[in-house]
Amino acid sequence: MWLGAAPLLSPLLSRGAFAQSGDVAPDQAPPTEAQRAEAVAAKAASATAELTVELARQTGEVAALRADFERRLREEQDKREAAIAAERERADAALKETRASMAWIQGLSLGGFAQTDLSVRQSSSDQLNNSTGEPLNQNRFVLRRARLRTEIDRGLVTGALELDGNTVNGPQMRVLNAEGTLRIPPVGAGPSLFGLTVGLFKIPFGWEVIQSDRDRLFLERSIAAQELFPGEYDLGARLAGGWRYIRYALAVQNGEPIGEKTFPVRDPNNVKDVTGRVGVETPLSPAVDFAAGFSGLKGKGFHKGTAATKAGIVWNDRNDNSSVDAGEIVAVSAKSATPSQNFDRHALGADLRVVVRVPGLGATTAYGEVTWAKNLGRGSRTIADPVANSGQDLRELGYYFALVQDVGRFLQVGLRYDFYDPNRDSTDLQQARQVPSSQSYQTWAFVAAARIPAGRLIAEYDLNRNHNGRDSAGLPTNLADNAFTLRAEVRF
Amino acid sequence: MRWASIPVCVWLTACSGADPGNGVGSYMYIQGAQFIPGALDTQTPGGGAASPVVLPTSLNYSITPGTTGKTLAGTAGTDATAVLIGLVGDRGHWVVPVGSVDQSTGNLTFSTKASFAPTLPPPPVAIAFQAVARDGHGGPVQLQSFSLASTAPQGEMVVSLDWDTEADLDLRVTMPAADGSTIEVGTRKRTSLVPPAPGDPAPSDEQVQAAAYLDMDSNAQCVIDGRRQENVVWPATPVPGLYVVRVDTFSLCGEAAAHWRLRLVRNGEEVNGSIVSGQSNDVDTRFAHGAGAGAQALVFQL
Repeated sequence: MWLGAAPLLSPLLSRGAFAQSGDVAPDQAPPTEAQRAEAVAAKAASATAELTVELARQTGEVAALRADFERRLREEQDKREAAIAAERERADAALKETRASMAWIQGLSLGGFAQTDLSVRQSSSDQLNNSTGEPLNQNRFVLRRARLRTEIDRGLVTGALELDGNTVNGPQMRVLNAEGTLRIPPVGAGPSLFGLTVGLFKIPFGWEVIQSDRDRLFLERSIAAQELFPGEYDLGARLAGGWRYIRYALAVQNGEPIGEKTFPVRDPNNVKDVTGRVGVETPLSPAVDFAAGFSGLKGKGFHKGTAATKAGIVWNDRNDNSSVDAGEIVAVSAKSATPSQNFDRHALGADLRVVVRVPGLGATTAYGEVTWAKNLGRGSRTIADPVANSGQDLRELGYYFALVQDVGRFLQVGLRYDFYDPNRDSTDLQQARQVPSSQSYQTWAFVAAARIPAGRLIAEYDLNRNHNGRDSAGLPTNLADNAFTLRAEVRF
Repeated sequence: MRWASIPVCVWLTACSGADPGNGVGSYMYIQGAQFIPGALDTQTPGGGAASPVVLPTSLNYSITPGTTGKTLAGTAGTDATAVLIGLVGDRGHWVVPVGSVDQSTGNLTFSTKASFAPTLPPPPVAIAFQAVARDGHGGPVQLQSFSLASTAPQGEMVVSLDWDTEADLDLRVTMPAADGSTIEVGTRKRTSLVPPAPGDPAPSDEQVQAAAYLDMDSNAQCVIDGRRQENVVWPATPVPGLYVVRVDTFSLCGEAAAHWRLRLVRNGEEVNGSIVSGQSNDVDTRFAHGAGAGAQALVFQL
């Protein structure tokens, strides 16, 4: 402020406007007071005029400078706005191009999970299976499931492809689920009215078979599900859908599920298995959900024939002396081939599920299932083959009930009892008499899990009961086979 | 207090049931039968008037170590449900349920096939049999003695090769012939007999009997017989000279490796320092398999 005022005061100071009154020539008469006042006024007027001129000049300069500054600022703003507009136009063009090239990704989703187990089992042994050469040790780390699943939803058409890797019987990678569905109507909440699916998909029987492995708390399905529907997936076509609370599914499949031992996902006979389920699924109240259904299966199994054999000579060491003696070398005649045969099989089932949501605690889920079957055992325990069983059918019975309780957001506990009898008509030779016996398996499973959205840590103890052992009197008894498993699961 | 007892109950429940061990490591093995750890009590006299009695029989009271499929059979009292069978000195015994009725005696029969480990306890060898009633009450233990048959190859001299996995290994021995030349006995030429020249007489029976021979081509062409042993046997005194023994790895038949052992036996006794061992790997299968093939394992002079 003071510096700014200095140019305005400088003319006054330079012209001696404030000179002393004694500055007068000696020969002149001293001016009068009036004259001095007039002179001072004249000087002041002159200085004021000069200052006014100077002020006007500087004001003009400032105005010119301001006008120049504003012009430049406007030019700069115009340049910037033009550049931003150009950049926005270019980005919009690039986005349109990207969207056009990635149109196929719309409706596509990718997910998966991996389950690694540490198991300890009573029946484990550091030996090999004599017939298969496979290790009998079951106390080990095992990659039980490593799934990668992709799904696509294009309204009218949906599809899924799921790959599974595991090390259960050594490292393997396989296609587990590959299906395409045409559905009508194409969109809407809940299932469509009609959905026609073709491919490799789960057998629509009961609840547990179609339950996802990533949702189930218990490490494995019940023994009945494992034995009657090993692997859960089979090739075929399915019509499924729902209307309001009604659900239905009807499938025609090869009848050789992916976990079957002899011809997995192939079909040795031309008769297909027909499987179906009809049920209801509805909320009874805001806190209670209810689901139930009936299932059925009808199809034909396959008994393998045998090839013809050549004639030969066999040494039979009849007296166990490791020497060839008279009469111990015998001729064995050739044997003709035997044809393969089909046999009937069927199953009926019923399932029930109730979910009650308890405020502050979480959901309580109770569910159960029962299955009656004939000649359907296809798992690893007893393969149902009535042709090989002297023409006698094998009648199976399996059931389970389970209770799963959420404990807050991060904990879950459960209890399940399951029963499976692969042959309800089995007998045992005791004291030269055939007496009724049981080949059933029973399991109490106790499980607890800690869970977060990215995965779970599950501990399960299985109290297994069977009739595979013999007591010291030679009578059937339980063969110790309890198991403890710790599972770590990650998902995305 | 009640809560504290739960873990104990779970633990006890977990331990119930028949032993899941398959008894593979025991001296005597009965496939399909229940194995019970612990030897049969042969000291405590069992039985009583109502106790089941067992009467074991065998086709041959001799056991060859390493043999399989030896029949153990007999009869037991009509109140028996099973027969316990155990080799004395073994780490466990086996439960064999009784079968049909013996029409001549009215008793119940039992029959099973037993396998024996290559190494058995020193003689005397005995197998204990005990019939058991439905209530678990056992009858008197019957001890049946067995003699141990020799497993050593019989002959004046034997070169023996055995190995541990189901691979196809071949034993080859290059030896001096009576005319001063050398001859190889192996899978391609299994005897030291030289075919006579045209017009010459055929070898005599004595010459045939005295010729060295290879007893068996084990796991030939990967047709697995499980024997895993080959011997070159000299029934008569071998010709003096230099003997070269080779081990030819024809195929590992899918196995990762085969550990083999070579022995020289004279008159039933192993020659001191003659045991040679080695390992066949995949690289050993890549060489030729004709005459003179294989890794040189043993050289000796007679």
